Amino acid sequence: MVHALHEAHRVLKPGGVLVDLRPAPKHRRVGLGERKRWRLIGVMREKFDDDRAADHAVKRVLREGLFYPGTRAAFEADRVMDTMQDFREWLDDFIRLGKTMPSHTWFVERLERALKKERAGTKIVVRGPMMLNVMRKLGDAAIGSLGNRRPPQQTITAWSGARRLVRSEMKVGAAVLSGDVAGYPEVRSLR
Amino acid sequence: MALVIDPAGNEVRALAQATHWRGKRVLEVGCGSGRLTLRLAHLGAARIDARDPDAKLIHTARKNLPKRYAHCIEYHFGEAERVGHQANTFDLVVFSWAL
Repeated sequence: MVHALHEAHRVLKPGGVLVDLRPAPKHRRVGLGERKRWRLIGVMREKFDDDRAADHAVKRVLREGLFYPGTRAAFEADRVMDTMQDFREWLDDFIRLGKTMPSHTWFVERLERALKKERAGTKIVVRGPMMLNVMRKLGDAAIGSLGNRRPPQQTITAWSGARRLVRSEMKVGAAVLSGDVAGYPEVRSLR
Repeated sequence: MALVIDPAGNEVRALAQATHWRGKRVLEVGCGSGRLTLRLAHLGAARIDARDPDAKLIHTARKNLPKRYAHCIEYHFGEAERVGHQANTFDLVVFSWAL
């Protein structure tokens, strides 16, 4: 993962943008019916070892000063399927894409039983948040001038587009609160 | 397979808000069968080099590539660790479930 990020840094132009899009480390919820008629049938038990490894890789390249963090967003992205066969194929793909999971045979059987009780045409819907992490490549000159400081990071959380929270994490502000302003000459000049 | 991913369009909205895509040269890592690639082209990316280590999926992606995007999308088989392009080539790199 770190090697892939280093390669991305190499091929990006200075100031170029890296977008990391992947499922958030939360268990997928599987239900029947769409939108407001959606009814939870069960929660999957996938493991998040790969997600943690990916997070560590991202943190490492940020620490190395190759990128600085930009926008972060989380959003719901439903997977809507017509039949049990579609669900099985989706599950196979999900595992193939790197999700380590214990056997979900029990889950498939439970879903199948529930689907049989529903009227024809009922959709299977898998719900779970995706996350999007945007980072910008620093040029060599910028890396030197930035030192240990990081630009402000903006976090956007959007759940189904309904609720939205925008939070700015101002590292300089945090330094002022903690009294540790040694590395921030612009803060010293304000005091 | 009848699978509709993100019918509400939250993914495209989030991508559109995240950065500017119009006219940009994009490398997509882990393109799979090209679902997200087409969305990036729809957002206005000028040229997309999409790659995936699964040759079967690249074949599917090439087969499903609409003519209107044929001029701006190229699918390649390959690993994320060896992209094979010169340094400082792309405006944007997208890791699509690839980390």
